[in-house]
Amino acid sequence: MADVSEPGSSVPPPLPLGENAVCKLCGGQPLSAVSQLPVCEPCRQKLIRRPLPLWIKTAAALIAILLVVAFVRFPAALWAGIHYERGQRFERAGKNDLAVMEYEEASRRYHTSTELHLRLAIAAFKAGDIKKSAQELDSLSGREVPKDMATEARWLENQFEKLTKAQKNQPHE
Amino acid sequence: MFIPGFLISIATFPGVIVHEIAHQFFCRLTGTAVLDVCYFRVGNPAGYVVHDRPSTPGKHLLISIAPFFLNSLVGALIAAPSAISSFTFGDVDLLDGLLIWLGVSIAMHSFPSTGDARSLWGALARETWWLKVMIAPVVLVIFLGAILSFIWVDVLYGIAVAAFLPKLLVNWLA
Repeated sequence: MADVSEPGSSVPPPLPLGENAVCKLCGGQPLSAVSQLPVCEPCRQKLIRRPLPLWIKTAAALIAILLVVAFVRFPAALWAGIHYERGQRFERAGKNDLAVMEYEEASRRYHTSTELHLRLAIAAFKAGDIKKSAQELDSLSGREVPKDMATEARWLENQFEKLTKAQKNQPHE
Repeated sequence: MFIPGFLISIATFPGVIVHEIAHQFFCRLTGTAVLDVCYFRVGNPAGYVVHDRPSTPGKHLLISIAPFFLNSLVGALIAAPSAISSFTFGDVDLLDGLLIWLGVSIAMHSFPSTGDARSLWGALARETWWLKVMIAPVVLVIFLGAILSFIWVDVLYGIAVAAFLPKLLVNWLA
């Protein structure tokens, strides 16, 4: 009926010749004056409101449900992301106590994130909160550290080793 | 690396379906009759909408570029929270994986096809020269997008929209 060799919209078929042409869909007359298709006006209106097949309605409903799921999850993820980004900016500016606060906010949503807990441990150590840093580091035991954070993770580990040695070497009373 | 187009279409079929729905939806909005629709098939093209000639070139333009806006928007929205979880926090579960795949699949089919561009250009044949001058860049961009899809630009666009747009939003709001 029409050329479908190209994707997307396509050029409609040519107009039928002759005054006695009938609608290709219902056989009625007259043909629609505003359409390039050989159809009458009622059929043209039906084609404008062409119904979606059931499987498309089902697929669209599924996508809509997943969109709702994404909408529900989005605010918390966005805020956590913003806190994390702010934390990194504070950390770079040397304001480690503020960085810790931002990371803690982010960790309320992503309490299992290795990256986040490692950043929190590092920032807490730099801010002088050794206890918090140790707690965060403990919570990461057995987990694989992301490659881009390996150097910082090693640095933190070394700092704790130095602290432990220093405590052992302290004279006992 | 060359991967046959039909394999990419199969792997990203939700994007093809949303692309054709966008064409059909804008046909309905502009009062344009739709003669035939294929939402997805294994072949070339993977989907198509055959419609009547819209009453104005503006309506034709809208129908042609509708997928660019609808697919980009739906792809970005559906993947955004999972993209933040995955790429910022490294926290990925099965649902995140599903939403990122869906988002990238939908966004990568945003580009109108060469068929859309040809149809749009054909509709301008009887129009004024200034209208042709105005719409020619759109047609050119569509053709360029279709050509660049051979070097995976459509996939890169999908990843950028679904994965990196949320990251940009976070950076901007922080």
